[in-house]
Amino acid sequence: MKVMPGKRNAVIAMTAVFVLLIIMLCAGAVCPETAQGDKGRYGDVLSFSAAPGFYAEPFYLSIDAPADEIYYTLDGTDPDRDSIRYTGPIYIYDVSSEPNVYCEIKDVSPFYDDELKELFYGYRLNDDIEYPVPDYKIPEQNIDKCTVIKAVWYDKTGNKSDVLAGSYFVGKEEYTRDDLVTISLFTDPASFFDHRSGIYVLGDRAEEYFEEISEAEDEEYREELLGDLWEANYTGRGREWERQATLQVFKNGGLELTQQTGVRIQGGYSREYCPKSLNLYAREEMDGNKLISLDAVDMTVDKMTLYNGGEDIYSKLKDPLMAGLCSDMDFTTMRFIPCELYLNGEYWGFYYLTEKYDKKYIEKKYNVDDDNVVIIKNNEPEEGFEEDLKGYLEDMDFISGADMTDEANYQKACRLMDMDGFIDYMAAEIYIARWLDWPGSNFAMWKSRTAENGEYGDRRWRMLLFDVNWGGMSYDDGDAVRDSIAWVRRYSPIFDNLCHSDVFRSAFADRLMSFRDREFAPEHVSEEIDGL
Amino acid sequence: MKRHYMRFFGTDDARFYEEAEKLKLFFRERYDYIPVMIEDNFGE
Repeated sequence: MKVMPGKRNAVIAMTAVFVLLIIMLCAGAVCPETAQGDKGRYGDVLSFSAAPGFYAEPFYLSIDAPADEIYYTLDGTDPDRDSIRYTGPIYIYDVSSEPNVYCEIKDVSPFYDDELKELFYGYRLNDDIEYPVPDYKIPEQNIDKCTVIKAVWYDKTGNKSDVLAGSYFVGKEEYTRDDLVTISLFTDPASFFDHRSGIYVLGDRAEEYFEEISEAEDEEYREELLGDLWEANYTGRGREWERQATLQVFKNGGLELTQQTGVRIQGGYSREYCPKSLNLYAREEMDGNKLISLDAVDMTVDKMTLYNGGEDIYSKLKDPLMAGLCSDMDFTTMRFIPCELYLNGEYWGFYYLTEKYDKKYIEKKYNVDDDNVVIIKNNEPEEGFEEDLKGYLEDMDFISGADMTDEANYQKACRLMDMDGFIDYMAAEIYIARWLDWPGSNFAMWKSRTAENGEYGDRRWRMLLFDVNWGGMSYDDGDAVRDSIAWVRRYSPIFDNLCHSDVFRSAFADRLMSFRDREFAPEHVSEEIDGL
Repeated sequence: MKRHYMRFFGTDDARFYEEAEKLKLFFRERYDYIPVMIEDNFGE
């Protein structure tokens, strides 16, 4: 058949479009990463025959995929063609009987090392400050474990699918009770424990730090280095010291969430402990998620913290106890959601899941526009600008400097600050005998920058309660009979000056007595402790 | 108390309950001391 040149061109063009469409469809079908770009969803082509979660009995797990070449890992690393080739269902059983791996690593804290402990006792402690120095021991028994599996498949041209990940607990029904949240976090073990780049270890940075100390000729400089928080990999901050990990969250045994997350070590001096607090960040570039949403605990955040209890290492009770006791007071408290963490399939300890105080938190809790939220923490703008800090300092200068015996000045202070809330906050902190790291630090206020409708848009400073795990509530330290009013008057010019006001003094004393009979009454506190 | 697995990394169940009891003792003694502290600081 003779084809006219015009028609031939049209046929060629249509054929080309058809072929192109076929190629695109095929690419979409067999290569989701290519089709969806780098932020493709994890595990949308592969599937497991059983959902990640808790199982009473061992079972066989199949991995289903539209091609045969499947690889998987059981150590948290992302699989590739060097990983285990999938040839048939995998036996999933209670792997707790397998040898411990990660809890055997001593490089995670100076308190595992006798020599470092001796240095710590010599330089980091002084007679005035009680600082918990744990006597860490490697567990003698096999600890609880789960199977963490990551799978991937390849098409004939070598294109790789997204990774499918799952955590499987067998015979661990106790974790499904009491509304406890179980968190499984798994990644390439090097991300946490590699000497050079692992974020969880003393590592190279500590080695360099102690080298500097040993070479220091100036004794004063040497003592200064030894007396400060010792540098280590785990003291690294910022994106350089963030690692990607797979996060799976279970509540009452059911899978709530699978997500990629950026993990950083959180905290100040408590970084030296083990387990350490961890900040988890939603990272759009990792899997397209801007938020971590945990409906079961009503938490939607861009970052959250797995909190290790700070310096309250033996009970981890102080922060959640105070948050509970003060929940009806006129200042902000955090929620502490109890959870158990598994790291790379190995039990890693009891934690609290908490949100971070930031403008999003304030917006959600108080219905104030997040761009209008100012948070000043320890005299630094946590949310806001230098201009906001300047305004804060001017307000605090007035409250700490004006003659508070003059009723007009006290009334002005009440217009600058939510005085009822401030009295509640100071009475609560003083009741529990806070000292050492408060009020000089761990002190924060927030306000709306400009006036907004609603109760909390009135531009008055309001208090945020956090980090009450040290310097207070210590029976052994004699905190119960500590004159905290005198202590705080020495270190808080605001409180000290307000005490010159009869109105403030009277209200403050009344509030202390009211807390004594209600929120902090011994019987009530005992019930709260027993409920934690 | 809900927690069932405190023992790990140097924290055992006994130490946990000991700390919990000390916390209760703190609040019992503090209850008696609060009026004294108020009187010492704000009393006429």
